[in-house]
Amino acid sequence: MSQLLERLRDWGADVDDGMQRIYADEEFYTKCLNIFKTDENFQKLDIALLARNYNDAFTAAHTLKGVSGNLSLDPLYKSLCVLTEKLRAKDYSNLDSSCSEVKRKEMEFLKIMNFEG
Amino acid sequence: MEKTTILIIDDSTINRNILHNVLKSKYEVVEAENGQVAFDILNSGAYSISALLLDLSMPVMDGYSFLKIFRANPGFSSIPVIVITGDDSTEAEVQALKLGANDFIPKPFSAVIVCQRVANHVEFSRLREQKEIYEIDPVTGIYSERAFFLESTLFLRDCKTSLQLFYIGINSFSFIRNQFGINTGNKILCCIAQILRTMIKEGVFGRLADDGFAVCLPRGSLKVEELYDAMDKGLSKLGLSYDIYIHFGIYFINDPTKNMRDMLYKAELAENSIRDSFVEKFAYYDQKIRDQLAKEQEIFGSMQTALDEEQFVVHFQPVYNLDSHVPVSAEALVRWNHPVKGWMYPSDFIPVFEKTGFISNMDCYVWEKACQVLSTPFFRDNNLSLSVNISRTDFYQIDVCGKLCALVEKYDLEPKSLKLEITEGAYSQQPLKLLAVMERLRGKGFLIMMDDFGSGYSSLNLLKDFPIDYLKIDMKFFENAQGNQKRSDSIVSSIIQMAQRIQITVVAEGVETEEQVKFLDSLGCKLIQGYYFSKPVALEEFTKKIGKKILVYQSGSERIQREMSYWETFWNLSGEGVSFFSDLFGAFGVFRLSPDGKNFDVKSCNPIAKKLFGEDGGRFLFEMNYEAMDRGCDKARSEHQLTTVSLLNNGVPVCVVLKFITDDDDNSFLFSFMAHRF
Repeated sequence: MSQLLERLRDWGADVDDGMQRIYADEEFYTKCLNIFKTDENFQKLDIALLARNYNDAFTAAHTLKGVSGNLSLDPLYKSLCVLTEKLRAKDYSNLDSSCSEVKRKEMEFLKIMNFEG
Repeated sequence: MEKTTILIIDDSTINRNILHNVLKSKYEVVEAENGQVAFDILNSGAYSISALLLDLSMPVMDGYSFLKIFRANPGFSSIPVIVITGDDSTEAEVQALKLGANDFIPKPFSAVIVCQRVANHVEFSRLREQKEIYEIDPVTGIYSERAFFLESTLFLRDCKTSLQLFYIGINSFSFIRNQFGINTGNKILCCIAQILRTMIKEGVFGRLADDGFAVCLPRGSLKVEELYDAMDKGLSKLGLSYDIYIHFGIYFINDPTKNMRDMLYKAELAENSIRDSFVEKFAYYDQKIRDQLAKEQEIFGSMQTALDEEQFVVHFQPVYNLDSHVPVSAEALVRWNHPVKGWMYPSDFIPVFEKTGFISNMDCYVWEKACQVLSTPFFRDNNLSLSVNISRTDFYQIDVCGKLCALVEKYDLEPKSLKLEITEGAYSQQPLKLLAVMERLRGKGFLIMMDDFGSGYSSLNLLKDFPIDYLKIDMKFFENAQGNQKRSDSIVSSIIQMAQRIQITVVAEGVETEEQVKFLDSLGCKLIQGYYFSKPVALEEFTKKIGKKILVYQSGSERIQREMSYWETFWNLSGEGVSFFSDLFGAFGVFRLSPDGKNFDVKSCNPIAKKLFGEDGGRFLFEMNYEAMDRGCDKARSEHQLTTVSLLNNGVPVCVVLKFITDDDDNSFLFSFMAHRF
């Protein structure tokens, strides 16, 4: 397995499950990861939250949740689940902490993806 | 084989990629990033999409909106939609399913599951399509016959009220389709189907294989007149140049446990009873029809035994040649000597035989009998031929050529002695197949007769295309020509002339009057078959007729007049030729013999007869020897030959040669005689 995938696995992603889930070999899985890391929904989520546009935020989070789930990027997925449910239920209490958690996991993910070496 | 194509509708590129990757080994995959693009793809017709994978949250057009529009289009109704979405809430699922999604897979999904579900839905959809092929009539879109019986049986089982069945028939539909084309035929069928759709609110209806329609509905729900009127109106709106006549056969269902096919058949029988009427519109199944059905059942039940026990008897109707005055051939006609019902004629049993296919068994039997008869010395020596009928269904059920060839070989016959009569009905179905068989038959030496020429719709056409040796005109078709006998006669005359021109021999059958005989004779049609000369008779009686000349003009007085004028012209000639002739032949004249054989009334005689036998020309002489004369006359009449009688006239032997001319209306006989005194 490539170093990238090893690192993701160390981070907490269930890489084997992810590949199996989408019927992918390492190459395709990696390709998907690379596409995902530039997913515009990350930006959309940020902007929506800043603007307190919770509907748009929900849509973006929801989409991100789906893909991360499919790729079995568990840490990111879990954080997105929490946020999505809150937004769906229009429960805006402690929203900030949920958003921060998502941001943190997102950063972690991107760091691994962009790591060269 | 074309790969099945799946359309993925999801705004997320990565999701599409993943799904594409998952499906690509088994399917062709097309992608759309939102509902609108999906519609563009679907409507372009560039792909034949077998299933959809649909995301719910998309820009421009989301999954719900897409579903609403998609399911409203009947053209897409058979394509399964599998919703794959991150929104795994119950509301989302319910909403999607309500809008017509077939399945719901939450994200994150498992590729294996998605694949399997897609496969299941594609397969299910395919099976349903196949089923529809069997259950929906492709022309009208309503139930096919099979589906009608299935659905109506269920309807009958579940319905609490009493039901009735309609059998709707279209008069001469196959003719209409042949004349005006398949498209017109289909228009008519669709028109009727549409009216059924509009008017039958409760019940089941469908199109039957024979181009009829069946309806099963509650008795009180719709008046048959209303339905009839609606159809009549609808059909006339089609603007065809030919009036369409439809008929309804109606059967009330009293016993819901009975088989639907049997019950519909009863409605069909009722329709059959008025099928050709231009006045009757509906008929109810009743006692009369039930009796007819019972009769048919009886025939059906006893026909095999009849064949095995040789209850079918072949009779022969002679065909006379007007020039030679003797029979030259006969048509073999079958009668059934039924042990219970007595003698039955073809019209009694042929319809049932045709319906059940048994006709071929019977025809083979008749052909064999005919061959047996032809192989007898009597037939061979007298150079007689027979004609047999080939029913239209024979061509589709048995190897006609093979069978006939085998028979002529078995009985060592010349094929041309067994003439084959084919009726026009046989030509109209699958003409190419028939043509092939006919050419084969002729190749083997058989001669073909086209029976009932002029009775159907396309006689001339058929004459052009099929190889025929004989044509049979049934004079019954040309009698009672709605007041215009002259026109009818003209037509017969034209047919005969045409046949002569294309070197086809004409046989006239159904000849019943002297007038017809004279008429046909004058046109050069010399082969006559009909009750005027003889009805169909058993073999024994037929053989007796061979060699016996018949006289063409049967009315006694006219015949006598003809003969008399001939004779009188002959011996009233004056001049030397006459006396020479008279000297040569001696006395001759014509006398009438009374029915009791004792009275000889010499109607006319030549001068020598008078000189030799007295003014009464021989009467006295004959009456003196009336026993011998009577015997001689009898012989002359029964054998149609010149017969010699030796008489004594005052001890002087007289030799009288008798020839039978004709019988008169009052049963007396006319003879001519020549007498020499030694």
